[in-house]
Amino acid sequence: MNHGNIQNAEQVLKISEKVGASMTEVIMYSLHDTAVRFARSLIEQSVELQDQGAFIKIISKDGRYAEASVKSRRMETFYKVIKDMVNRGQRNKKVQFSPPSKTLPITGTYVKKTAELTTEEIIESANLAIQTAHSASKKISKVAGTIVRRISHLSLVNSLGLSLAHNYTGYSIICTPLAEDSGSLAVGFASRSSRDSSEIDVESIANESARDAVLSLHPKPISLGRFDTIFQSDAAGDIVGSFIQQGFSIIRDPDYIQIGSQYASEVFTVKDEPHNLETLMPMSFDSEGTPTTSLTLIEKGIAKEKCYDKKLSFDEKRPSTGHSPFPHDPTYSSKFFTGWVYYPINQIVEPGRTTLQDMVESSKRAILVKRLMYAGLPMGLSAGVQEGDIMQAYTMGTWLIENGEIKHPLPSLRLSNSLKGMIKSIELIGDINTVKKLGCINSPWLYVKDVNFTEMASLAIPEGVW
Amino acid sequence: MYTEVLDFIMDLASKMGVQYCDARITKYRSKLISCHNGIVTVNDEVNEGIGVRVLMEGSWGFYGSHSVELESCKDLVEKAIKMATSASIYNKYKVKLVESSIVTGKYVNDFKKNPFTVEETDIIDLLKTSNEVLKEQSVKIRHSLTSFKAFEEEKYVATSEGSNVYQKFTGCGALVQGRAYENGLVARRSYPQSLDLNFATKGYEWIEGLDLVNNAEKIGKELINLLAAPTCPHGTRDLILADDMLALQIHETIGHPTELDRVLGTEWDFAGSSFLTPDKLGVLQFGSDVVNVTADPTISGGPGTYKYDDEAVEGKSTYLIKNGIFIGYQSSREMAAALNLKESSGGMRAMDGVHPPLIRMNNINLLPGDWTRDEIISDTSEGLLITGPIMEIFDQRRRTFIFGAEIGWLIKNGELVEVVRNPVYSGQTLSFWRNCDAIAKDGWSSYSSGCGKGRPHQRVRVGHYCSMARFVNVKIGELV
Repeated sequence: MNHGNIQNAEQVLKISEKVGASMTEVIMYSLHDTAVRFARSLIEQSVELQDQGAFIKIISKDGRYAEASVKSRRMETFYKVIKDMVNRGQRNKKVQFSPPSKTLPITGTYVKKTAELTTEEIIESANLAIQTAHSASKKISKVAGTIVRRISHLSLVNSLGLSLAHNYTGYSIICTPLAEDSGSLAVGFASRSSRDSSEIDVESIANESARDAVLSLHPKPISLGRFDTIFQSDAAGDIVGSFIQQGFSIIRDPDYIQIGSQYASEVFTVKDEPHNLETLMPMSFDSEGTPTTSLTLIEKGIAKEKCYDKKLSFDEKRPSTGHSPFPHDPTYSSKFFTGWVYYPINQIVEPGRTTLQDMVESSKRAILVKRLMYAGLPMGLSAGVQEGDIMQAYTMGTWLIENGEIKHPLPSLRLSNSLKGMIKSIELIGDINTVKKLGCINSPWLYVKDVNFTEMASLAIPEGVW
Repeated sequence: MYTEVLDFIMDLASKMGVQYCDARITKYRSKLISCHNGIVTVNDEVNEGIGVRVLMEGSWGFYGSHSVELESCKDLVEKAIKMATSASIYNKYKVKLVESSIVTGKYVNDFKKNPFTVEETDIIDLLKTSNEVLKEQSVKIRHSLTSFKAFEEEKYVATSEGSNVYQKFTGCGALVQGRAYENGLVARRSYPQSLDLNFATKGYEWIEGLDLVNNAEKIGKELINLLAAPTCPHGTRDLILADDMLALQIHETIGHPTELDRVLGTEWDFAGSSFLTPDKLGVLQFGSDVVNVTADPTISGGPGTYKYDDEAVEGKSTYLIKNGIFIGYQSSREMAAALNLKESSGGMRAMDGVHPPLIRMNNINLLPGDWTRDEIISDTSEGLLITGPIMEIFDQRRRTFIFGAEIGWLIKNGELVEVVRNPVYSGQTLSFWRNCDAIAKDGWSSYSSGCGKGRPHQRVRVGHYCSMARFVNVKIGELV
């Protein structure tokens, strides 16, 4: 099924040789996305698109390096681009191409059933989500959401004889109904992602999101400050993913963490397992053709191993671990799945022993958070600040727990807390039943002590404010 | 050849009974040259694509592809129609469009020096020199990045109503950015803006005017000062936002909330909504009476400049806020009809041919006021001046926000007295803009942004013209 891609990539290699490149590496990709977006309880947007292209790296005969991105299937376009690349490369000692190597094949990432879903079936699912959410409660006034199906073919070839291919399918749904009641407005949220569309239960997602919307109506304000907080998987994934990306990925801030240092309690272990089919994005090779390897990033709270690509390997004189991300969007590195993408992309937070019920019932006074919106750190996600690694985010789906019971909904709260501080304050980790596959991270619920909240923002606009 | 393809599509779509069809073909190329710690990389991008959008039985369907061939047109139209008819089965509400003039036109932006024909070695020399000058300021500056990007975008748009437009945009941008480290502290400074390269639809003269080398030296010195600077004090002060910081404030708290698709609920699944609901149009005191904001794609050289949007509607300057009153939305033909507006603001754009158009900001501008920049500072008895965004967080309806900056200067009795690091400010959108008491008339310049929106996710070039503005009684502080 990937033959077309490999043949095209090899054709580009030949063009490159013809115009005088000494070495060439080509990533050729083809993404076929079907996106059905619903809003205002209507099928608002039904879109299909085929995104095809290539990333090309060449080394000229006198050792100069150049790279290019081409989104076209015309070979004359490739010819023109590569000819230009040969003429204007720059010296770069850090670039090395991978020879053929034994990469462990991963099967099961391409699910035929998902690929064969028709447009009508996807739109029908969107309508089912709308109708189910409305049926769940009369207070649901509008339903929004998105279903995306992706079919991807990717190949990587180079002049050293490397020839790799990877195919996958993905299916994801987000449902965000609005509930209205006596001037109060609330939004619910639920999502699921899988490679196999038949694993997605649309009605259950619609019901969950509608229930959350209704349970979020008539929020009561609280005095802002520090609260023990239970982060459900979506929110927990943003916290752990941000921390891991800052400290362990190849785009990390080198000063952010120290290997061997304790960052969390003994209950906290995070691995990156690119071959584990339980993750949503398993992959046997990275964008430089290096076989991927599993890493223990944090073990019992202690930082253990970092990710390397070839450039970082060159700088730090360590072997690459196969963690060079694919440029732009040819693999999973889009916002295709329902969670944000954090690197590395196969993170697994080891589940704990606390059941969901125990976590809530053991809380004397705590805040329960479903999802974080606009979670961010200063300077984006490409650099940390030792002194000010403050994560800021607004909560979506927020409730007060008192004496082991959910008391009432809260307005959206702004969280402002040291990211490392939150990791250090993880007290309980949810059991396997709380784990959700978010795209790049499988995360259970987390119970975090003393999280700082600094602002409230109700969705509803009270009368008289204007 | 492209116009033939579009003619064929329009003819076919009409024969197949669509209510409305538009199609766009884009041909894009760019060249990015970066120098990071002395190592230069050059990356070319070429992208051509076609997208067909049809309105059939009251519902939209869209199909996009990188295969821009006459032979594949039938398939494109059929697939788009299938998407629309499948959706229409479930949609009781049927999409309507406001009337729009039928136009045939061409637009090519003005520039003096084509950024693609400037000698690459000259550009690399400039980037390398700026890179070195920045690093030379201190060994504590461990990361020095200088970048240049040139782009050229050709866009053909046709509609089944008979509109047919061709536009070609050539532009470029640059960035100098450094990071310094000491004793567990890190500081970042950027020029001319911090979130990305600062693009304009201008030629290489735009880059020459930026004076990258001298500004590299300036931000290098600021980095060293930042490492030794105290953190920003907590409290309430008069806040002066300059340049890219003010542009970001405009983008997030005026630009996004006035996008009519967000207002009407089509972005709830991803980015949220807006507090600027239709009942507020024309009556809400959004800001103080000195606040005037336009959406204006007609400014020559602007980052978000165009003549026609992707529905072939001619772009025009639209007041969003006039004398502090909220009076306008950015809209499309569909959203304008949904709100019974007379016309679209001409705000629809797609990232490329392959993606569907959405309502996108063009140039969202805070119009000049009566003050000079110097007068604003000298008139401030106790305040904070900040620039260089590093963080932006807001709630789902954009009613509250917190922003962080690379650098701040405390102001005492009209003088900049001390540099502070990690400055942060927060507020509520309405009270913040209502407390705007001074806007500068000099130094009005453009700041660009690659704004993300929609699913599948799209980034398009947008811009903000502004200079400097003062806001009284703002909550400031360090990061927590």
